[in-house]
Amino acid sequence: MKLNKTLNSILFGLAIFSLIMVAGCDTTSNNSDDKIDAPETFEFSRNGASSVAYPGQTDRLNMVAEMKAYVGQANSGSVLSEQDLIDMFENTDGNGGGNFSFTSDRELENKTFAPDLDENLFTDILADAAEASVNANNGVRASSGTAGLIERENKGSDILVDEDGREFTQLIEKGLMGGVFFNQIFNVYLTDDRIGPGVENEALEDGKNYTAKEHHFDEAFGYFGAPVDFSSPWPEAREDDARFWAHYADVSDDQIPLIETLMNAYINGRTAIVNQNQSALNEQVDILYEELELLAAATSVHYINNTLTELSNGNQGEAFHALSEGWAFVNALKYSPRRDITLDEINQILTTNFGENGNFWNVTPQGLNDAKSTLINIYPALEPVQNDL
Amino acid sequence: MHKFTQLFILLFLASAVILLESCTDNSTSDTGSDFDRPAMLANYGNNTILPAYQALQQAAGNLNTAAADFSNEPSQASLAALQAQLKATRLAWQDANIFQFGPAQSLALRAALNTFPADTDQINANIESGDYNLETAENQAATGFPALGFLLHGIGENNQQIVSQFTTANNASNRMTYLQDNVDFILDNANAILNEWGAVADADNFLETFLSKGNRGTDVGSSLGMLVNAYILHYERFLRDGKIGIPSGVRSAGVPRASATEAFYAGYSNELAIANLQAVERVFLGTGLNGTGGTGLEENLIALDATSLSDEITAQQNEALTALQGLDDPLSSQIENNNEPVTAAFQEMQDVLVLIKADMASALGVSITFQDNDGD
Repeated sequence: MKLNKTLNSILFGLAIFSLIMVAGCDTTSNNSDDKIDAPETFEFSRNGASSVAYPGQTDRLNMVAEMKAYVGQANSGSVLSEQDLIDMFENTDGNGGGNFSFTSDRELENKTFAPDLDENLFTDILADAAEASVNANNGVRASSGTAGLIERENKGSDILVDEDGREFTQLIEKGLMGGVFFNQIFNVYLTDDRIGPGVENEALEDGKNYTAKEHHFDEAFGYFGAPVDFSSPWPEAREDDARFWAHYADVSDDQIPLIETLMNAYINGRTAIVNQNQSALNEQVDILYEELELLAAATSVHYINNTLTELSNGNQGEAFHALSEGWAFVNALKYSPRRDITLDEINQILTTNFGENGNFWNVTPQGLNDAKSTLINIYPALEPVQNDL
Repeated sequence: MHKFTQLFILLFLASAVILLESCTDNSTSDTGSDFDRPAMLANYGNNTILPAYQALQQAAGNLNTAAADFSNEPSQASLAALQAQLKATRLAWQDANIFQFGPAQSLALRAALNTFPADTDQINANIESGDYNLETAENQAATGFPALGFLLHGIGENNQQIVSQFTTANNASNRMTYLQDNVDFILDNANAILNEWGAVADADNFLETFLSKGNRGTDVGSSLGMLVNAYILHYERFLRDGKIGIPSGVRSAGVPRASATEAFYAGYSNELAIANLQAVERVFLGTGLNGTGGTGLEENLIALDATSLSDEITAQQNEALTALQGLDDPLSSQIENNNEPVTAAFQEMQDVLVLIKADMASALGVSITFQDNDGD
């Protein structure tokens, strides 16, 4: 009898405890008007079928991946065709001029940030890559002012860099993550024009299982590159499922938990659309702008640290590789209309701190530390982890 | 009811403790129960690392003075004094180069001071143009000790000829300026690293960070984690490979590269390698720079019931030291004439590496965070 009483007490205590736990963990408000609660993963359905689709984004992710693979062939001495590169960028004939392993009616170029197009940012890089690949083919080694090959010491293989020491595959792959993916998220799909109060959220699109507003938001998710069940900690066995920006959220997740922050914002934002709750949606959109920018800043600091480490170790090729990544991630900060960093600050980092005249051969530890301080001042959330990123 | 309330409160408290526990990270948890890790870190910080940087700065200051003397009155005597001071500074560097983390990483100290082999084409181009910034990536192999080694030993058959390179030869005055700029550059770096570590006692210096409570664990980014990673990385890449493996051809299909020795022009590469191996051994034992014993990785392993591993490491370190001591300077000649003992010394060092990189790191609970050379 006594035992029984004790047991009861324990059970009661446990019950209270679990109540506390549940209450502590539950972050969603219980609004009785809501049609749905936020799901665990980015999966939403209507009438028993998924209402989520972003095949166009997946196509473009694949295009960037295949462009990168093509450009990477120059690292082992293949001559690149400028026309092939342009055909891939414009998706000529729906198959990148025969260079894609798939067909699609989408393209990268017409989704690129307009000022980048005005400056021919990417087409110039593509032309330079093709030209430099001839040097690589002739075995020219890179030096200040000369495009050519440089060894990545940790891998024992070469990379092709431009006359300023910048690695073409990084400028193109990570460059397009900014110029296309971030541009489309920030300047198109998260804007009022696509998910504001005036956008259709009752009637379904012709022949589709989603509203226009739902679809636009899903397209912003598609450019993030995450699997629908992306969560922290992300298992190594599924590393490849997290692509592009999502991959970098995973890279720095131990230092700054952006997987959870970003996935919650995407899931809660999409839930708010289903629940026709514009103000709840706006809250999540604010988080997405803020935290995606922070992701680019954190990744920039990560690669600045990496560059310092490789310079310390006397690995010039590894340092230039890391700095090329850093270049593209700092450049990516310019795409958010709500950015905390100014264009002048971005330029200062890219054209002075990363080497006078934008030439990596001129980079100094001091310049790298200055770039890092600039970023830490602007993004104080990175301060506590600035040396661990 | 009384009992019930009691139990409930107990349970509630227990839950609260569980909750709190799950919120704190385990970075300060200790693996060896009786081991005083903060004392070990304090010993390293106060008795090994800081004195090593002080000695480096002192030597670099003397180097600066000797260079000024040479510049004021170039002669075979002032050149010899400068050469001797360069050697003293390079020996001081062997005690300091193991700690390439924190401020040393931000300054890229090792690359600035000691990237070898020297790029003599770049050095000569800089002298000719008189237009250079020694801090840039482009000039990494044209600065620091190896550049001075070339300028003070490698540009003439004898000291008389070398003096003339700074007095009467083409570009003599530019060459003297380049020499002084490099000496200044070395002193600037030595001052900077010492300041960062704590020449001035303030709460912001890196010694404070190194000893701070939050960094006493074994996780990535903890003081022990940084120290052990830097220690092993240095041992593998810069002592085993850089000083012995690469010049003896272990990394180039057995084809020796004698000119890739650390002090190729000055001819005392093996002496530097021995000094560095001894410094590495002192760090393991916890022996301070002045020879006083203290708590080190050895004691940490013993506290973790890994005494036999600790003994094995010490014994194998001694084997490696004996092997290096059996080599002759100039190491480049030894490599060219009788390379077999050099590759044998490499093997002894390799045997140490296996013990410290695999067994010691795992016993300490420290994960190796640097990339393997043969990696992806």
